[in-house]
Amino acid sequence: MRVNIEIIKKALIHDAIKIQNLNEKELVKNMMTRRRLTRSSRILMYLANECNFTKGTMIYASAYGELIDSVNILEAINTNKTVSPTSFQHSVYNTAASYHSIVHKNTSEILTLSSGENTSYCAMQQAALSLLKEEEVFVCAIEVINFKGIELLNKCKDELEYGVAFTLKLTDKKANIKVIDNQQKGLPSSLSWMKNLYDKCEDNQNPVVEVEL
Amino acid sequence: MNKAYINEISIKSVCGDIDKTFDAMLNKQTSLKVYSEIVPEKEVCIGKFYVNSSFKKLLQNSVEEVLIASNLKDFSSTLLLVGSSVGGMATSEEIFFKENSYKNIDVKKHIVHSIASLLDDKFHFFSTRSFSTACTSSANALKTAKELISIGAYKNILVVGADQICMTTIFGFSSLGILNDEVCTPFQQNRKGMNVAEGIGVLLLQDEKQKNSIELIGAGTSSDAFHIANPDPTAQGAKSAILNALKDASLSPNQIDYINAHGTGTNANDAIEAKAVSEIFPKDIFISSTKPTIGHTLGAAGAIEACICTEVLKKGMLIPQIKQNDYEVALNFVENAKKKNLQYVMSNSFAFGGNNVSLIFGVPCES
Repeated sequence: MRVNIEIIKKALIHDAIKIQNLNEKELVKNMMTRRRLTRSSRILMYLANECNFTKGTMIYASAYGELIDSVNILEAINTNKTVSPTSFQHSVYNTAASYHSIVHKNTSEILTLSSGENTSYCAMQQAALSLLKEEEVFVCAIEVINFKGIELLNKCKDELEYGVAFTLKLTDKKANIKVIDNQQKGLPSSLSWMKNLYDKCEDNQNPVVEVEL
Repeated sequence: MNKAYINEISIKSVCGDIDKTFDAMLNKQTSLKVYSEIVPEKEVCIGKFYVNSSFKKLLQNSVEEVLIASNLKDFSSTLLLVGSSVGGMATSEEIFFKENSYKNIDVKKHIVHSIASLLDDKFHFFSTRSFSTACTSSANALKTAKELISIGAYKNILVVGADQICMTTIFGFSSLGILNDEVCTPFQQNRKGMNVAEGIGVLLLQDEKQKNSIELIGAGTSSDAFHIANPDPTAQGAKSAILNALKDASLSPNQIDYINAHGTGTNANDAIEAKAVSEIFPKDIFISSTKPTIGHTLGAAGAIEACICTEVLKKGMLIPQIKQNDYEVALNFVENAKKKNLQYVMSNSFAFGGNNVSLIFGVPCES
């Protein structure tokens, strides 16, 4: 079963090492909350703001999850140090989406998907399903892989922080975009489908894409 | 709208398969054990598999059991939905603790989706998708399965909940001060926390009813929007998920016969769940938590407890609460295994980040 989706808003941000200006002070007024945010949470706050999203259904996606906190935990166990309770609380994949819900008091459905290289397409599929009940859905995929020791594992990614997001709406209009999931050099492959969609939207005033449920 | 029928199930818990696990629950037994050599200067009561088979093998076996018992030749037309909290973390830990380096960690075997990839390599599904919302992961997968079947997008969906025990979760829950050194005592006055455990739950959902089908009749979710790890003390999030599930099932609270509680044994979770249940349901609704028998299997809990609920309905047996003598709240906890004509049961799952899911299962109507 296929549905057509109209892209209402889009946002993209990335950096080779660490994204510098995420406007956190403006976006998260509470200092205590702001200080606790993981890198993924900060990127999500930025992208959601760019897409004018505060409340409603959110589909969040990440293939690797909160690697920085996972690594902190492993390092602590391996060196007989105390595991940080905050690192453990932050190590779950839905941390960023949860922080966004806390900041904006959003009690709607929030789902976190993690489907390897297909992560961003699966997020779009899930968003398409949600759109059968909701007028608008926010979908976002983020990878933060700049943890200490990444150089031992990373052989092909040039961008260690990367996020892409859309606000979506169901439509009867004909699809005018076809996304080919070709891998882009240096980009986390889990985000390639949504990055390709973002690029196609750049040349289109009213982008509509077909997604299989 | 199509109905979503649970036609085959399989679980692997610390007690064993579904029959052994269900018997242990009815007889108030536990397979959780105390370990003193894992966390320095601390005893922890956790659930580890005791069989001479790897977690991966048990996972594949569980899926194979469902395939053999089903009316399917293979899974080529089946969507696989996996729910897991830690994915392949145990595999990564083994390498890292041995080599003191990340160099030989295979990222594809580390991530949450490694479970789906492992199963896809062997069984070749139509497509795969993984959910990771901490302890509600596989409950969210079940909700999605119900929605996709109801609109006719898929005829066959396999939902797998799987979480292997690992040092990250043992040390992590220990750092939060909520990992118990004894078998947990959900809803009791002086409860000391939860027992992390490993487990696998597999359910085949189809759009056609079979002889022993149980229907996934309702699913509701919500977000607390309160705190990253602590539940909202007003219980609004938990109540919303429960009420959304009831609305989805078109049922009123007094039609639910039994609640399989999330009931982890932590102070915060049990207080909030009890508050939500007491404010929504009649006082005499039967309730129990099965976690003292099999532990808290994190992302697998929703799927495993869904399997338990199908057995509760098929056998018409209420599961008793282990260790009952000093309850904090006046709910109708099941004292002993009890035969009862049951029509609808609910299973609750609550997670870090304030992610809440309630599922309702029912005996299908004869028509």
